[in-house]
Amino acid sequence: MTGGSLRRTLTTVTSGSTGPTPADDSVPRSPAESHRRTGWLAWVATPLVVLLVGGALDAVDQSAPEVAGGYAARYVPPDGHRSVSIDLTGATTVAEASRTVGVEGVLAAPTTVAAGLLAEAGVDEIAQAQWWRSSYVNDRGERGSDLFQLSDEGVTQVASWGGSVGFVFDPPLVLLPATVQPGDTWSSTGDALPGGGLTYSSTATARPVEGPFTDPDGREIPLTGGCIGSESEVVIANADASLSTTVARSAVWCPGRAVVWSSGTIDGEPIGTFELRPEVLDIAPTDAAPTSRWSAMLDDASRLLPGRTLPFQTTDPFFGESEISGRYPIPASATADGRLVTVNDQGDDVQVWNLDRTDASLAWLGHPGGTVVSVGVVGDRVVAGTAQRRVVAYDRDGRRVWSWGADELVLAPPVVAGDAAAAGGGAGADDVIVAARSGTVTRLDAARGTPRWSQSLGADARSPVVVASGRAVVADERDRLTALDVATGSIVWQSEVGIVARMTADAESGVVVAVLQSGSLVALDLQSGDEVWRAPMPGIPIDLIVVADRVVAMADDATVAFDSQTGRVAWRADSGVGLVGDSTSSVVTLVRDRSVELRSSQSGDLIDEQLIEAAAASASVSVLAVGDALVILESNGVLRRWELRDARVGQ
Amino acid sequence: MKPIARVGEGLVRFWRGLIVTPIRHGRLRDTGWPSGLRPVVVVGIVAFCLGVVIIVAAGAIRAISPVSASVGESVLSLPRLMLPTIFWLVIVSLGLMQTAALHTRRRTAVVLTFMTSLIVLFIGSLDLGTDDAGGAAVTPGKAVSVIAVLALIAIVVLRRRSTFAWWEFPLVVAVIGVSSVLSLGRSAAQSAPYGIDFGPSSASLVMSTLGQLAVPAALAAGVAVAEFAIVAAMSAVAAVHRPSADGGQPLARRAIPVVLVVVFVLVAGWRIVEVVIGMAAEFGPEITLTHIPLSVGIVAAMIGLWVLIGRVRRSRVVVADDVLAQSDPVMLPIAAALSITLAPLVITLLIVQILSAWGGEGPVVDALRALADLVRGTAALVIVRSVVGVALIVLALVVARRGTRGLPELFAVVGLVTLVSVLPMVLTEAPLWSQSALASVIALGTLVLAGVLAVRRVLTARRLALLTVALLLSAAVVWRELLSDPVSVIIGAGGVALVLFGFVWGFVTDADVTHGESAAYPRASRVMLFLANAVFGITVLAFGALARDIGAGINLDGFAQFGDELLGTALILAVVGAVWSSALAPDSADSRPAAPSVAP
Repeated sequence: MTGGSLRRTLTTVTSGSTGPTPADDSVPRSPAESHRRTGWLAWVATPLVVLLVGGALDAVDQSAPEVAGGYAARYVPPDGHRSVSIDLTGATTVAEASRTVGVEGVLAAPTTVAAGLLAEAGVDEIAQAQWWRSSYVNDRGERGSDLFQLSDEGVTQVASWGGSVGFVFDPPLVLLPATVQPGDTWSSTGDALPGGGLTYSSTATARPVEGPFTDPDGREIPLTGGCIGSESEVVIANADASLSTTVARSAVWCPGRAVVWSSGTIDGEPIGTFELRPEVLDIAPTDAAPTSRWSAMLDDASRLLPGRTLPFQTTDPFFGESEISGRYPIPASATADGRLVTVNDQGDDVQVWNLDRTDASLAWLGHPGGTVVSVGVVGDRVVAGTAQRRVVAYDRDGRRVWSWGADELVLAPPVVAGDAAAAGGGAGADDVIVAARSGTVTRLDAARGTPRWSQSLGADARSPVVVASGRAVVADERDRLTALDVATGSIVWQSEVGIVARMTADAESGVVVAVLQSGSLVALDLQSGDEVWRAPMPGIPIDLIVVADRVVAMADDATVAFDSQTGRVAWRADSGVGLVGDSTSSVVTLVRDRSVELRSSQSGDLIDEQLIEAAAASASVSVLAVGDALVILESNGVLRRWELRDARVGQ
Repeated sequence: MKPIARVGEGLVRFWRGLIVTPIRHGRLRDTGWPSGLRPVVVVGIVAFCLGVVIIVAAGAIRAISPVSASVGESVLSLPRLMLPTIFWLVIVSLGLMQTAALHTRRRTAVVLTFMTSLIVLFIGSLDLGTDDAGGAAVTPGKAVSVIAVLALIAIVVLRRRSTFAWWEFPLVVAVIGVSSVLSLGRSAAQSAPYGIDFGPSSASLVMSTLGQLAVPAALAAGVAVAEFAIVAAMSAVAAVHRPSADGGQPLARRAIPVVLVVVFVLVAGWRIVEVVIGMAAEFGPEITLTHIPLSVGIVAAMIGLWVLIGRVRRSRVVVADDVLAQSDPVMLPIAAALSITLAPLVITLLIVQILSAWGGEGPVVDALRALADLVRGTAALVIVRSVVGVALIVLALVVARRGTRGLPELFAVVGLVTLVSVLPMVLTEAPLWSQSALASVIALGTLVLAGVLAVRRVLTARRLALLTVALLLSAAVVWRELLSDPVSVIIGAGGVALVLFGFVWGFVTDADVTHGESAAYPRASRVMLFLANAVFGITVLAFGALARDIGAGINLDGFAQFGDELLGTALILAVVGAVWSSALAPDSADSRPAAPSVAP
């Protein structure tokens, strides 16, 4: 179609049936008239088409499926919801809700459970299933998880694990039908374990709730948003019904909070749970029993044992061991008591692992809600930053102690405020310092998560934040380094050094050292911000640490040690993937592609070396000291661990 | 005229010279546009302004909308609701480019249509799908993208010999839009039920692949700050030197030399103090002594090249306006030449993505990936910069032989600085230079020149004004980034601010190219290419601003910094050279420096 004919067609269409016919072309039309008509069309059609494309793009955009489960879904807590309850024995239980879609929902379950679910429902159905997982831990250290599905049936329980007995319900046990209303009754029967080892039968009725409902101490539990009651009886029996357990329970479900009150019996024994609504769990920070520290154990006589590759696994008391595989894209951390902290493959669970010589076993997992974008260890707390702009703290047992809302994502791992004196007194040495991407730096009370102070940098903050000698130093996107007084949050100095790629600080030598994107290494006085020295960086920065009186910088071309006071080059070595060391040690651990090296921080002389059986295949590698061991975690899930020869003999 | 009024008039002249005149001459304006182009221009301007608003309001947008985060080597977080807008901006810029291609000369039309086709196929390939065996399947998204490409080629064939028609742009946008909407919609519909949010990852893929095409614009944007600084310096001195259009009263005319001396002494004092302090490295820009030799070498080489150009042209005199007037038309092509490897890189990446989506894994794809790695490697960078540097110097002599002023000098200096930028890549112990060292050399050179002229008793008001400009330009070498600081205060990121400043200033002052017309590039095509470039650049930057990470798609900041350091510094150096040259030239009847004119 030519332009002329298309123009005619459009003119015809827009002017209706009485418009010009092709024969009309022979009729002379004044240029002004033609121009007006074309102009009018152009002004309408051009923006209209462009807007239609925009509207269509908006219309077809989908980020998540519609929530399944019908009316009953409103009672399911949102992702990341934390609930606290107390039972008749006085035990306090902390539970976290995880809402997922697809295979991810069953991957947190023991392998036996996940395999059973996949076999029963099929991969296609599981891949589109919507899940609610409730993971709980009580103050006796008992922990477990319940897995629920939101489907056309309503809210159903699929599996339960972590306790001395576990279940896999087939078909799932209906807790609330999709159209639940007071007066409805429903029932379900089926297997409670794969293969019919246990069976279940359940009957239930929905009731209107008429409070008040109170906890054992007489405090009234608020009923908000249209709660509903249920009375149910579940009988679980073995195959020949020679053994059975009957659970009779009345429960109150409230929107977004799940069961807030329940009371009943198990084989006649009274049971009950009652929601508490504390903002903060009253769990004071404790001294995290420190294990031997890798760097502190190193000296010129240290010798390495061959490294081991450790599998990740979890052990369920009922379902047994399960091997876990996945990727670990977020840089790992280590707790003071020698445990490894990672974020799972999907980026939504914080995992804490006990490491020994043979494997890494899951100690606990936390689900702060949304994607975890950073994780760090502050005192005995594991602190995570999430895509929901929250900073969430867990105690050493995995109980979520508090959560605080930042004004932006906290991409830099949260750090500890520092020693008590520097932090402004005896209290608060374990406080958490976080820098939101917006440039707001905040010191949070470690016990309650409330801000002690907040300071704006006036520019977007860059990772990481470093703390030493009572100064929290933060880089920003306007080329500046800012030192804040840890005690008050006031700005002590600001220096325009350029865009910082990496940074470290050391109280002993009194300097903060930054690698700049421009390719320089600059050391500033921690107290005054004065430039102490500047040196060229040997290539693209990989890692930067301070060991004794050396600043060791690893780049893709080389590893170079500088005198921390003068910036003079002390020694050079080949490049690698990471460095470990601190100011208390005279030995730097240098991890290269195919070897782990111990080198004297003074001279750079090689003290010992062990080969790595296979070079790292991952895009990113975490190199860190975990307790008395050196750990390398590749983002593809390969975990390697090294010990010192003396340490093993000593044990 | 009262002194206050005189000062006011000077300020008005300064404002006009700095802001009004460049915009008046360089803005997009109807210079005989064909019928129906105005709505297209309005769409382009609205899209550009929307991009600017998104960038400035990115923090607020993130604060009020849910943020979707994906974790990989780095964290990509985006306000999820804005992703369709980003895709829309990409489609609008693509539509502008392809519509412009319809009436350009054949080889340009072929290149642009090829690029558009690859992008359409690439977006179509996002509708992945697998067959029963798990292999790549032909999906509706892929099939429609092929049909869309055939339709675009048909439109080019049918419309190439015609003049611009208003319906071409909506038609092209509709073709690209239908294909893109179908592919993106199907991808989202297929992945959402599985709990996978397709949007952020696909947006990231699109931006990191196509974002390279915004590099020339980012490099040129980096020059904007230098250009602005030069115009500011020249306008400021012109405002003092030419306080009123009629020359003012006799008394006022007599006061001008006194004012100039005072201004010169003040500026010279500032520069001397800064150089001294910089050497002591306690405050302000630090001057490393080891950077001085190469900085002196650069200035000396520039003078040498200019002498050579003068001999070839048989005239050494060149004025700053000659250089400045030539910078707008040539900076973008030079930036494109410096990033010449990016076009084949993008093409290779697009072909790899398309082939992979269509099940074409194998040696061809592996070879293409290896080629992409080669093209973006350091060796390729060294070769490109060396060739461009040498070519510019040769071109300078060729153009000088034709008697052109300004352009040869500019080519020579840009070529020289480009070659110097290669040194650290090829020499392990390469000599270094820095902006602060170069600034001090320029300042000291200017003061020496002033001293020589004063001793010879030829330091006239005209020369004093010119040397004041040179001193201010030496300050601009190190301080020019401050110009984008007010924007960075609002945005919170200096990198985004620098690029935004460059993009916006370029948008309102660099449209001179659209004022002309030729058979190869008719007016409508020029206008739409200008808009396509502007909208696409601002879209890539908006994506980075929304992610609160300028490197989310491609690090435009890095390229803008490079453009600023290389092209911006070269431009300032060239203008300084021209100012020195003018100062050494004999006085004419009225050769006082005027506010710069950027009119062609």
